[in-house]
Parts: sequence; C-alpha cells; structure tokens
Amino acid sequence: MRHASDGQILAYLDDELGSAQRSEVAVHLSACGTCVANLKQYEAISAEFREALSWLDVEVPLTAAQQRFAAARRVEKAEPGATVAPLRPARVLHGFGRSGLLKAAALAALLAGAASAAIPGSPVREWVEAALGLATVDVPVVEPVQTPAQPTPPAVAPATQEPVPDVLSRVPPERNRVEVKLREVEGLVVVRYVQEPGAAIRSANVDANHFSSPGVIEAGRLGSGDVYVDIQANVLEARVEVNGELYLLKRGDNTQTFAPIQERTSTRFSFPPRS
Amino acid sequence: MDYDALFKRLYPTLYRYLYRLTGDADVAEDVAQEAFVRLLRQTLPEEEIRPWLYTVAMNLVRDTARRAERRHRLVAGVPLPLPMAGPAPDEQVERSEQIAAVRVVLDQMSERDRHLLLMREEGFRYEEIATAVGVAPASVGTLIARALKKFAQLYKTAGVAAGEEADETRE
Repeated sequence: MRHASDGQILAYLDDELGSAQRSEVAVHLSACGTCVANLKQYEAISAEFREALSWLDVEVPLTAAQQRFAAARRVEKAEPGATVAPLRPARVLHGFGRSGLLKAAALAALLAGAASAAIPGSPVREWVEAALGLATVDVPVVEPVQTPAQPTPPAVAPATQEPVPDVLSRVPPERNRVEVKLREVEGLVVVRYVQEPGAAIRSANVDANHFSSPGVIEAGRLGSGDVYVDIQANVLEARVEVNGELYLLKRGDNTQTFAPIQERTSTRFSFPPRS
Repeated sequence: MDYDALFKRLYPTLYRYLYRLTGDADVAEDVAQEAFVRLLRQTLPEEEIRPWLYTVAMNLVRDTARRAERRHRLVAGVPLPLPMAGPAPDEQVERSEQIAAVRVVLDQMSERDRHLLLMREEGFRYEEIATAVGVAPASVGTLIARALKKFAQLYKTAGVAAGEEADETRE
C-alpha cells in the first residue's frame, strides 16, 4: 500500500472506514513512520480544535427555551402548519448601560420614536398621547360579546394543568385595536409584533422599565399592578407573553388566547392575576 | 413522540453548535427554536431527527446570514462577552483574548469548513455530515483533514497575534 491519504487517516481516526480498509490502513501504519506521524499530527490538531472550542462554551438557556417551545407547541397544535416565529426569551434589561450595542439600539429606538411622535396622526403619536392621557385617541366602547360567524368550538378536554387554547376571536373591521389587560402582573411582559408600529404597553407602575426595539416591546421589573397592552388591528402578527408564557396571539384578524381568561369581547381581553 | 424529552436532550447540543458556528447567542436561540418548531410538522424516524434538525438549522443560519453579518459588524466594536463569570481580572483578560482568537479563526474559515469541523465535534457520522453539507460521503474525510490543517494554521497565527498584543499591553 502507498502512503495513506489524509482523508484515509482522518477516517481511520474517526472510525469511518469499512473493516477491510481499516485493516489495510492499520497494517500500513504498523510499518510506516511517515503515516504514523501524519496520524499523530491530526490527533493533535483535533485536540487543539476541541480545546479551542471549549473557550466558546456558554450556559445554555434551556429552561427559557423549553417554555418557549411549549408555547410554540400549543400554537402549532391549535393552528397546524402556521408559521411560528421564534420566540427568544424575554430578557430583563437592567438599564441602558450594559453595552454599547444596547445604548445604540436604545438611542436609535428613541430617536425613531421621537421622530414618529412628531408626525401628526402617526400611530406613535397616538400611543404617546394615549400614555400621557392627552386623549384624542378613540377608546373602544365595551361591547357585549360578539359571536359573528364563529365556528362551533371543538370539544375540548376537561381543564388540565396546561391552559387549553381559547377559541379564535375575530376582530371586527371597524375596530382599530385590540386591548389586553393583564391584572396584577409581575415580572416581564413582552409584546412581539410584525409590522410596526403596532403595539404599546402602558403601566401605572412607575418602577416599570419599558424598552422597545423593532418588533419588540418589553416592560420589565413591573412589581405588581395592571398592565395594558394595545395592539393595532392592522398588525399582521402579535404575541403577548408574560414571563415567557404566551398569553395571546393575534394573527391577521384572528386573536387567540392561551392562558385562563377573565373577561373578553372580540377586541378586549382581560387576564386574571396568576400565581 | 415525547417532544419534551427530545427537546431536553437535543436542544443544548444544537444551541452549542449554533453558538460556536455564529458567535451570536440570539441567532443560536432563534434558529434552534425555529428548527424545533419545524420539527413539529415532520414525521421522522427517531434516528433521523438529530441530523434533520442540524440540517434545517444550517439552512436557517444561511437564511439569516445577512442579518448575522450586520450584527457582527455592530458587535465588532464591543468587547466580546465572557461566557463564564467569576475569574480574576487577569484571567478574564486571558480568557477574552482566547475567545476572540477562536472566534476570529472560525470567522476566517469558510462556512462549509466550519460546518464540517463542528459537526464532526458533535459526533456525526461522515454520511450525515455529507448530507447536511452537500458533499460526497467519500470526500468528507479529505475535506475535514484540510479544514483541520487550515484551522491549525490560522489559530497559530491568531494565537501569536493575541500573545503579542497581550505582551504589549502588559509592558
């Protein structure tokens, strides 16, 4: 046998050769110092690569990922084949000073928000006015529960530990927003939405820190209190999560809940306190 | 299928693979999550699930390459995060230099070479690697050998550069 090729030596190292070829290489190695040296070189580089990679090891965010996967499964179960955007774990950001990147992102969001708020009639201006109580915003009137064209809900299993997805609600075309009230919520509320601007978080709790980036609004360190989430009806997709748990999903004109709900109309959803 | 058990077993290694590949924890989380969500719509034999997840994840990384590149540029001026907390300042400096050196070397390698080496480290068989990367199974050994040599060469250079930089800082 001629010298073993680099590919053969690697395959020999990785136990990827068939038995006949492995024997052939083994016999050759027993008599060829050049190939043994080559083999040792690849062993050393492999070890060096392994050691180098160990520098990159990080803690895997498994618990948060499991929660998000469970939420995604519930959505998938309720709406098979739906495109489910990845839900990154909501991060509680403890201020703007963590990194230059955060500062830059926060500054960019602030500038963009300020610019949008300066435009009369812009949705951002509408949020700001609503948040400040300047109130030229139309506040939807509470309506009796609407049941237009809702299919008969499929039979669902009796209550279990896992919240059973609620039936879909259809947002009437004349309504321009969906309102979500989260009662006595603590921790972190995250709204993720596609097509901006589209959502806002309001909280009476002065300790709440609000952060926004394109498509994401977070309200962290809420303490305890009611939180209101407003989602404009033309938002393509929006999710409301509390501490990583999916509470409400709005996709197109359909809105679906995934946590026990206290009161609801087709455009207003009120979730009770959760322990 | 017991998705909870499957997720618990496979997510950590997939996340680690993606983090090593991209150097971006957000991308690693998003892509790993999306790959598992897509798995929900598949009916696969048990033994095919792991390679399928990695192949999908690999394609998702490619799809988000432009965004990832932008992130890399944004992150370029920011000190690299220290994965493990706790070491003393001197050790932290050394650690961050090591991390930077590894990251630079991986970033200098081609996407295919990174996949080849990282999938090998995850214990995939050559046939699985070949399918995921899109090469002939018979060529995998040769390609990995070349990629390893390239890594060694680049790592040596990066290590020397990092060492010199550290010496200058200490002086």
